[in-house]
Amino acid sequence: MKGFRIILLLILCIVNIAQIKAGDENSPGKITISGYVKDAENGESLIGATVFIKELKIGTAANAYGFYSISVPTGLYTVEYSFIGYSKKVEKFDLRSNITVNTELLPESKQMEEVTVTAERPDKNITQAEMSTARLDIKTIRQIPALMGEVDIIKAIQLLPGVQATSEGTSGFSVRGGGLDQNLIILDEATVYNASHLMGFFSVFNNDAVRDVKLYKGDMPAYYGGRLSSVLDVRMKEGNNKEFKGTGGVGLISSRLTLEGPIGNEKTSFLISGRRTYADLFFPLLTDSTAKKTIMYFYDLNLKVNHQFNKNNRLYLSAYLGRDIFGQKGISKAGFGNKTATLRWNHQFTDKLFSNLTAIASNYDYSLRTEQGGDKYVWKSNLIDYTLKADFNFYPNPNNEIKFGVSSTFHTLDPIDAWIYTIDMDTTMRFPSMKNYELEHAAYILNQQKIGDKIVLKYGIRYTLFQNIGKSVINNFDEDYNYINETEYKKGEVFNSYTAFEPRLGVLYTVSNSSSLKASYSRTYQFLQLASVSNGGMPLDYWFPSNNNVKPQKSDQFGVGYFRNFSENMFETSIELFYKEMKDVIDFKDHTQTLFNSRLEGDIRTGTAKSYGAEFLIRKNEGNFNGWISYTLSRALRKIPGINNGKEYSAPYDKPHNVNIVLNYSLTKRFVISATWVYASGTPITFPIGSQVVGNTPIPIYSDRNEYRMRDYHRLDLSATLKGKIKPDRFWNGEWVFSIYNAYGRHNDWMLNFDLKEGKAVRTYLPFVYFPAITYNFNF
Amino acid sequence: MKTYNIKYYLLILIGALFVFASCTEDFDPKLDTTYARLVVDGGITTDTTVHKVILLRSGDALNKLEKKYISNANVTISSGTEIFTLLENSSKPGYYETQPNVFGIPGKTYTLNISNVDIDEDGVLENYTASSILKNINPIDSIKLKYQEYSTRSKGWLINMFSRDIGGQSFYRVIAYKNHKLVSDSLSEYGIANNIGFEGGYYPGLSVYYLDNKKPDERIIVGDTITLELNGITEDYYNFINACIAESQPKDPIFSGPSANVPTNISPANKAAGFFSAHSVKRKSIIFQGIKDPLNPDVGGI
Repeated sequence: MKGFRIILLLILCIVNIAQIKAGDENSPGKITISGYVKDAENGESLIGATVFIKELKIGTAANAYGFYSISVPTGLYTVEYSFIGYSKKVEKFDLRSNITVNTELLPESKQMEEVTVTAERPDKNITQAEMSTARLDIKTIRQIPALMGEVDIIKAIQLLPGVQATSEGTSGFSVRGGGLDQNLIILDEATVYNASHLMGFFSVFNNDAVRDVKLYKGDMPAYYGGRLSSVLDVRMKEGNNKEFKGTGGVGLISSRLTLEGPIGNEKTSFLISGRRTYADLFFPLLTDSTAKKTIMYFYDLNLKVNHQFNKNNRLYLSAYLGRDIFGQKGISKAGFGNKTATLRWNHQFTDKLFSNLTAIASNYDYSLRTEQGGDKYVWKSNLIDYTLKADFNFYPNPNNEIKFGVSSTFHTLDPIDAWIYTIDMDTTMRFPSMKNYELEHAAYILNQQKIGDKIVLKYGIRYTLFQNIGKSVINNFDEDYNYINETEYKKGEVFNSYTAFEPRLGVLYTVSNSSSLKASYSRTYQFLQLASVSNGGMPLDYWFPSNNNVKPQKSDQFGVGYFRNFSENMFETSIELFYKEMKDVIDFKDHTQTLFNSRLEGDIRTGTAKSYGAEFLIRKNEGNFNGWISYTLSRALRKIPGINNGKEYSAPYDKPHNVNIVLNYSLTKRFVISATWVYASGTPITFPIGSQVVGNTPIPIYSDRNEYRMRDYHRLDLSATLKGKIKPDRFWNGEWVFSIYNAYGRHNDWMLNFDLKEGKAVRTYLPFVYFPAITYNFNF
Repeated sequence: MKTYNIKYYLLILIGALFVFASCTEDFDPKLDTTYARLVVDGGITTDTTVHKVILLRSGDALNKLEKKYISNANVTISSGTEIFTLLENSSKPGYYETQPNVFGIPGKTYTLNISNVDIDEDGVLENYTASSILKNINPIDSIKLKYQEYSTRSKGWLINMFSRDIGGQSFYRVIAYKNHKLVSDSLSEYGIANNIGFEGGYYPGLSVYYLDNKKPDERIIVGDTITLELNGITEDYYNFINACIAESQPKDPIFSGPSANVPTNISPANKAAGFFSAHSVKRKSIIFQGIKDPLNPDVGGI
């Protein structure tokens, strides 16, 4: 608790300093220009928009709510507001006192996919101290050929250097060799615990409702915590506050519709967006009686409302509901999905102090019901988070930008709530409860400090206090993981705590206007992990906490990078080297059953892991011909006593070579063609090298774990987008997207099986070969 | 008792789409080989009968179930107070059998000793041992058959069991017979369960086995005698069967864990495979009367 108090004290000091400084408006020579940068057409905040004082050659970037603040000496200045895809705005100000300037930028064109476009400023990769991050704009994501035509932000993320799909076609991803559960995925600040639909083949994110996507692969800012490998921060659109608009699409497997507009006046706006698959509507038409009874669909609903009370106060309410439904009519039904709700209050204390107070609820649950011989079987799982957090941005002077805040989350994890009702004896048998409660408190502070023209330092610390609280039953094990007994803790009793200091450091050295060197170090801890033994993950996996039996996982990551732009930022190149060392990494002993295992902790084995590599990127953001080429050379290894005889082995996502090529070419203003080529080393796999016969069944004798690899993976996807004629004041705009997934029909290994009885090896590949799709998108 | 019927059924249900939709093709894997191991398959039970231990040599991975039996071994099972010598069946090489009056006693630890074998063929004879405690369980009070239709392709009869758990930490194996012939004739047809959370409780007609109509040996008609056998097994044997089931089934990236060698209780473990089990046996039989589901007589059965 000592560390927590120290950081809180620091934060309180800063708030006081801010207020004192804010009150000191007459301090000679220093005034502040602040405000919001927004899209002129729909009022959306432009995250990362640049504000540049030409005469002083200093600038700042708008935060996640479009707010900026910069302090300068009094004088006459030319202020440039700019953002990629928007016309630059230049204004002159005679700055004598603090001033608020809310600016709106006009999109350069009014193509339908550019209703909201967010992207980095042209040289942001050179001038910003952060590294190992990537922000993708919706326009780019939409151009990437997609499986079944379903544009998916996670599939786009998988094309970035250092990121890999966990399995063919799925939305699970591994960052720098990390596990599926080591990625923090947040939607409007609410944790999304399972970001997949339809067994992972689609993600929960409806791109029509998404405004901004940013991935942190390392160098995580101190305001993020709780996962070792990455943070995927997804922000929903705010809703057009200028006029009523609609966006939608009709695809091969789903349709979607988004409506947004002002409520009353520009101070309030809303967005509602829905998506549903409809393959199930055709099942009754099938002849197979089992297929006729099949239930299988998913849907998403996004909702957002925001209201600006006055120039200093704004309230946002956003919510997400998504669910997958499976089953057979009259026999069984299963459903799983996420629910999130976020209430945010933006408050501007002064020109230099911006705050965001947030209340968040997040839930992932699944339930399965069936009947067997009249007996009822019910199996439910539920995870609920309630979070309160306060974040502050303080801009004391042009050379420092301080961020600090506190948060507290109450986790309720109920992995298995299962019972069987037997009709014969009118009796219910209930599986032992594994319900547990945790509190996760955090405080952080970080500063980005500019030192001269060449150096920017970024330093911060995050302190986390993780507590297990009753009512809970904890199993006790001996040194050999044998179960001894259990201990029951009373309601509200804090029976176990972990504290963690997580320093985050970064430095930027500007070599020239077009090149810079960066280095970073970050320590992260993870207190919740997924009980999953498969590579791809499945919806029935559940999260379990660190507790008396399970230590939190820890990661130390170092990175250095050289960033160089060419041809006035038209070409962006980078080389990043990283080394990540992890301790208390979790794996499971051989043949662990994670489901219906109330003594799972006894099957956990912990050890060390490391990953290292180099990521190369060449990217062209502008022009008719754009896209990127990335190459990653990396390794990811684990060494865990009790697994693989204690010998080091390749992590499940260890793929040394990974190439991604994404190219888009606008043949005309209306016709764009795109191609994606993906290459990755084969997935590590354990091969049989012998056999034994037990009970007339041949059982393999295996090599060391992951000693072999599947064949290398590669795939070409193509798409062509034909847009409607561009006419001013046209009510309805439409476009057709034609795509082919796996255009040269590669049979990529999904799984290799060995039929020991028949003496043959069988390769399984998914039927996504020459897979065509057509989608019609529209807006009005 | 924890049953996995529902879990596997539901997993199959939601995974079926992609598993069935996926495509397969044969390929030449160019597998490496490994050194030979002694494979032991056998044990002793509470039945008064001939108890068997089968000895084999492990083979190459894709050898099409080629069995290399080990002959001329010296095999004994001792209970601490008695030593039973197992003689090789003259018509079945590699099958070592006790006398027919031998039975195991719950609570005792049985030790298997194997000698006079040279698995690695280096000219030096090797010794192998394994031990297993024989766990007791309560008798089965009764069983009942219930019709179940999982889909139009999968329908059959559930065997529901009424029995009281013996308490403590218990592990079970469940197998079934039709007309006294074993229908659980492969590892994947064994049912296994543990009593975590139900220690000492009563199993009130729990579904513990499924007779699948589409399998000829499990399809039942009026007059058939159905026998449920419940074995009290050790946790190690439970883990062994669990691993064997996992490793004898096709894998996929969504549901399957990493491939790994099944455990063994044969020592030295690096030179041996398989399992020696001592377990108790309880049985209950019922004659199938041809009644369909009494609660839902219109549902088609056989």
